[in-house]
Amino acid sequence: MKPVKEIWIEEILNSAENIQRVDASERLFAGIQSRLHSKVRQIEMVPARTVWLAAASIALLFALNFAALTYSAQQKQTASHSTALTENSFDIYSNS
Amino acid sequence: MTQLQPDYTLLTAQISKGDEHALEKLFLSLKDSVFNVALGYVRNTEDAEEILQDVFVEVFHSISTFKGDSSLKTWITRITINKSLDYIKFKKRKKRFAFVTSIFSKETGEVRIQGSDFNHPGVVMENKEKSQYLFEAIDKLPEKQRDAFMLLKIEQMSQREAAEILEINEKALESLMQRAKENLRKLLSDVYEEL
Repeated sequence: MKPVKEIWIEEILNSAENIQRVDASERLFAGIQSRLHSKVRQIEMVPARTVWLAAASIALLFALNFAALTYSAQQKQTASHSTALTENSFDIYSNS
Repeated sequence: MTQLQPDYTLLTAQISKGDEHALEKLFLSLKDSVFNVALGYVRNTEDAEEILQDVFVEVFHSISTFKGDSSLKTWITRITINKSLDYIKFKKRKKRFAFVTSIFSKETGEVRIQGSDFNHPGVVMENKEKSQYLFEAIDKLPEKQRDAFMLLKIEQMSQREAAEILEINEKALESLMQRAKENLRKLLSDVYEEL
């Protein structure tokens, strides 16, 4: 004879076979249609002009950043060059 | 009267052109299958209905990616399983957040204990407790074993159909099922000891 525990486990495992199939309501399709249309509308709500404007803004932002970085690099180079010139011209660090 | 199975190849072509009537025909043909698969994972009518709708919205938008390597039903069942798992993850995240924010009741300051949302309409009342133990154990199985058990035992699909959905051969499916059953026995044995 099977112990009580084994019988209980079997019962639990077999309970899967007693699950009945359930029908989904046909009315749910209305919800699908509404989701489809709301998604289409969301896409339509962003006009091409806005997209181009956003793209142009991003491009401008990149260009400005690039210009600022180039300018800053040039400034640094000029500054180090003039410091070197001053050091060479006046020989400020020599002992003589 | 048995409903005739629609021409899935024709429906696929029509849906890919944006035909909503074709989508409705597909929905009417597969809604119960999708709903029951989702229900097996989420065990709650409202959540399964949400997934069902999500699945058909996804089908409408991505039917052009359906290559026809498997049947349309198999492809949709895969989408259903993925959507159900995503939904479970989303709900778990939401629950975790809710637990942190509302662990204490505003009125009394006492700790709230959330009840289980097990509400599978296909489970008869006298089996509810047993099914709940079973589903709790299924949730603890490794992913592939869980999917194999769900499709074969809960959905009662054929070996061929389940293997196609899981993209494995029937021998591998049999072995997964064997391990799933062994693990379920161990898990249920632990539950029994705690009762």
